[in-house]
Amino acid sequence: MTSPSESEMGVDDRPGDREGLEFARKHLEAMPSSTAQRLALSEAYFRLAVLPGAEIEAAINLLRQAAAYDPYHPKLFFHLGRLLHQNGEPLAAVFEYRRALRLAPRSHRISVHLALALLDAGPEEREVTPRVLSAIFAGDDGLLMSAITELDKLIAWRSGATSDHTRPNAKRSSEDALIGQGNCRWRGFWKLLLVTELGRSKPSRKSLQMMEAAVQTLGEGQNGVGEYALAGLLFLLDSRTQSTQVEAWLLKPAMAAHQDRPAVRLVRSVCELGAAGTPEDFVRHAGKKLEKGELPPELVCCLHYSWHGQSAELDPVGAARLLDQYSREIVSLPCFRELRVAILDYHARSAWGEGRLDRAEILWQEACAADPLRIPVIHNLALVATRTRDVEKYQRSWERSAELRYLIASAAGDLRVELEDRIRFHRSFAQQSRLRYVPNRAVGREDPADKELLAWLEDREAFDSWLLESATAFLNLRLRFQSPLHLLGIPLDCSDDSPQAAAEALLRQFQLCFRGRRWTGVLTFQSLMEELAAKAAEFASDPIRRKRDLSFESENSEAEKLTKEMIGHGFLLYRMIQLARGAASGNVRLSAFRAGAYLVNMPWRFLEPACKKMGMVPADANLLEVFVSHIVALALEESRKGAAAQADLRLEILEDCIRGAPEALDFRLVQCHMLLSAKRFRQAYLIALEALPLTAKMADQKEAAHLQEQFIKAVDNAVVEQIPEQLRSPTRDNLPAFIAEVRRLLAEYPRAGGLRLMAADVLIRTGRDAPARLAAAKEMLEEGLDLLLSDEQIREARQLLEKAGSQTQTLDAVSRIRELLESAAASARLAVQLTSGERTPAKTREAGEKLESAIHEAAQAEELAVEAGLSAAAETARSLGSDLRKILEGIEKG
Amino acid sequence: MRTFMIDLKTQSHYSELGIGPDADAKEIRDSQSRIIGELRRKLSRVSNPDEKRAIDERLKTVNSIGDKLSNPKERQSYDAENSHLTFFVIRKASAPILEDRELRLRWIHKGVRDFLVERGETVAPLADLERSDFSADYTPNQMLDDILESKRRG
Repeated sequence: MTSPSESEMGVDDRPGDREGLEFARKHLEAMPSSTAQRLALSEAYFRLAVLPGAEIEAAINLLRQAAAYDPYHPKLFFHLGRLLHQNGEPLAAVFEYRRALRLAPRSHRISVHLALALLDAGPEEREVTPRVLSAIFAGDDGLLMSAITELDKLIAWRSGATSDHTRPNAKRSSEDALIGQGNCRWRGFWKLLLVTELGRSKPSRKSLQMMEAAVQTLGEGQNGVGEYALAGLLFLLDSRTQSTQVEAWLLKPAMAAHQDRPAVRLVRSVCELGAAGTPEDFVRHAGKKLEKGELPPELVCCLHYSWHGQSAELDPVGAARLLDQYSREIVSLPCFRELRVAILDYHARSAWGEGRLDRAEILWQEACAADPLRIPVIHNLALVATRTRDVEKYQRSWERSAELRYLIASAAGDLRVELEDRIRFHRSFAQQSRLRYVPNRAVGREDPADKELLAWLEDREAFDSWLLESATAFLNLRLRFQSPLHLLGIPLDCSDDSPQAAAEALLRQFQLCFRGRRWTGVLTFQSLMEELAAKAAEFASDPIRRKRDLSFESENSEAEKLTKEMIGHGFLLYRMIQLARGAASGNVRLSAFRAGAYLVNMPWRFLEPACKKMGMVPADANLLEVFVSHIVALALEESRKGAAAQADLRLEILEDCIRGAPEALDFRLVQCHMLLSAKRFRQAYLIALEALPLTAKMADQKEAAHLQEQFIKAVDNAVVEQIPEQLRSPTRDNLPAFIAEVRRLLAEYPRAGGLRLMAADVLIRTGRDAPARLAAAKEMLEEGLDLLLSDEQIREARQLLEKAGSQTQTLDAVSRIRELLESAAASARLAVQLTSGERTPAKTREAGEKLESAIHEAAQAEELAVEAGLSAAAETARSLGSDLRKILEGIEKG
Repeated sequence: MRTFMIDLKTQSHYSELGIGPDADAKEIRDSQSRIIGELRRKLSRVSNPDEKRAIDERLKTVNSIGDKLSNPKERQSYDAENSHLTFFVIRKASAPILEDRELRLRWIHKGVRDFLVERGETVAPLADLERSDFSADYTPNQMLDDILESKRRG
């Protein structure tokens, strides 16, 4: 590893370098693979990554690529650690520095930067830092390795790779001797030691000794003067009382020749501010120095805050007035906005501590005006509303607090921004709800008692909050995973369609949690979520890439933990649903019904195998089916017993159930029932029609036939229910009104086959003497023949059509018979008239002809009646014919 | 809307010991010992069996809670299950650099150094985290350098 260059060449990107390196990278990539080519590529990637001005995330990726080509060069892991540290990931940086140290165990540069990352990591890592620093200071490689071994134990403990759950304790080290550079080969070491020392406590004897030691190293040249003066400045940041001491350092003989150096002038300027008597004097002098460009504004802000910002002498109004004494230009600088927020927050926290909630609220509102997107301020305002029990403010401020956590992630275009805080937010609300009814047990982890669960279910506000917050926490917990497989919650050996199904399940969970939340930025959050899920699914769909999921192994234990937690949560929901069945309380049933919606929206396709693996359920169990059957039973019970006013709520919950388990058609049937009960006929009709073809996809044919029958009934019921009560039993009197109503309904609901058949039947039955009715029945049936929903309906329609047809024929026959018989009777009457007076041969002949014609007509009528099966009419015609023949015989005999 | 109202004074293992959720290991042990001492003294004074039983139960609870919270892993797990205890507390809204002493020192060092460098001062960065030029870390590579050279020459 090369020694670091201490010279700075400016921070601007050098386009020429970048262009050349990009060209070289492409050129090298096109070359055949060889060791030399790979090393050259690694170097090209490295140089691109460390170019001044390189975007940090891109630089991290470039270094990872460089390390893939040359995994044995420590500088690659060192710079990876450096960039991760700069990117706010000190733990990840520790891991990379550790890798670099394995390749270059004696590098003090790496060790020093490892120590810096440890300082910014967790409290446990911070405890290891003094040992690492001591070892570097002493230049003792053995001691350094011992400290690193301790760190390795800590890394193993953090990653859960050790069976020992006790946190490794950091060994204490003596740090008193750490003054100066020691044997460290890295030049800036003494400054780091000083910063670490000053960072731990106010200026101490040890830090003063450090400055004394440092001045000894100042040579006659320019080297070290700036660093020394700047180190002196650090003593002033917390305490202006050090001004005299710092001025004395500046006057040391070694510094005498450097009094005009910018660093010395700057520190002296700060010392002058330290000598200002009152806060007002400080502001006046600082303002002037800022205007002259003698001091950087960030430094003045820090000094203002630590010297006067937390002063008990100034009340909030005085503190705010003091800030207003700076010029408008200065106050508008971003660092001064930070200063304002910090001062207002300091006073607000003091007021909160004293129980002066109204004052705290006003001050945080002022801070909010300075920065409306600052989560802690909104969070604190929500806590004020909680303590004052102001319902309206409480709701508004916590909603805003949640909204902001999502908005900031959306604005950053990164779902992981504020992720941990969001998880804590949702978990905390969920835990508060649970603890109200299921208290923590001091010993063991007994399951909640039935009565505790029932009491919880009864409190719908608390229970709904638990459901929503738990589900949202689970959703956010998934976002923690870098591994696409763990993000989706699928195993390494998943089936081909699993990634897509898991991505859809994730988005369904999002919909369940965020539907109805009209937060700013939530749509952006949703599209980021969709993008992430799609990318993960695409990655996981490729079996080769799946095996290269670098984070899979390291995140496995965390993923298993989440799976177990989700399963436990799911089974608790299931237990609540079982408990609520038969419950007298509507609140309990409704809460449990909602729990059902959350239950079926959990990704059971991927959780069930884990349940089976853990032996929680038999290998042939179908959990979703079991859950659905219980939820359906509960839903029906609730629909039957529940208040009519809750109909919309029940339907809303059921829609969530359907979204979670679209293949469970029982839910749709219940939905039809509920819609019918709520008199939402059009929706019931459409939903039943939509569900009907889905029965064909069911594996269980018997169940499919049963459901099909039920949906057809639902279609008809949705229409029949709309017929006015007085028309439901058609009589001769109300028949026209009934038919008119049926026609109107069928125009709107043409697929109500049952109603169509029933109306046609009525028409046919009452149509013996009304051919128009028969024609109407035929028309109604013919129109709807293609719209009928089952073979049975079609068969019935055909039968009715036949019946209507035959009845029409009969009516025609009756009419013809009647005509013939009337005509025969008329002829007979004429014949009798002709022969009743004075008979003449002509009259007798004419009467005979009339009678013969009448007999013929009677015979024709008889024949028609026989053909139509009208026996009475046939008998009448026969009898008439017989009577006519007798008359004819009488006439012929004279 | 969020209608369920949280309670800022919920009972917890910490409240049982009369300490805050941010208490360190020593505070936990001290509090446990203090309460156990008080309970034992009380136990020696009471004669009523019901009272004795109640004190015994309380002793068991305090012992169990104290042991649990003294075990870092168990405490971590308890805290994770009860994150509301540390979540529903007032937060500092000021920028971390104004509150964290070490962070502030490093931040000011960097800011002032940049300010001074602009004015012609020579001040080395505190660490590589503040540097931007790493050309000294380049490793000479014949193949790469030849390509770069040929590109430079056009």
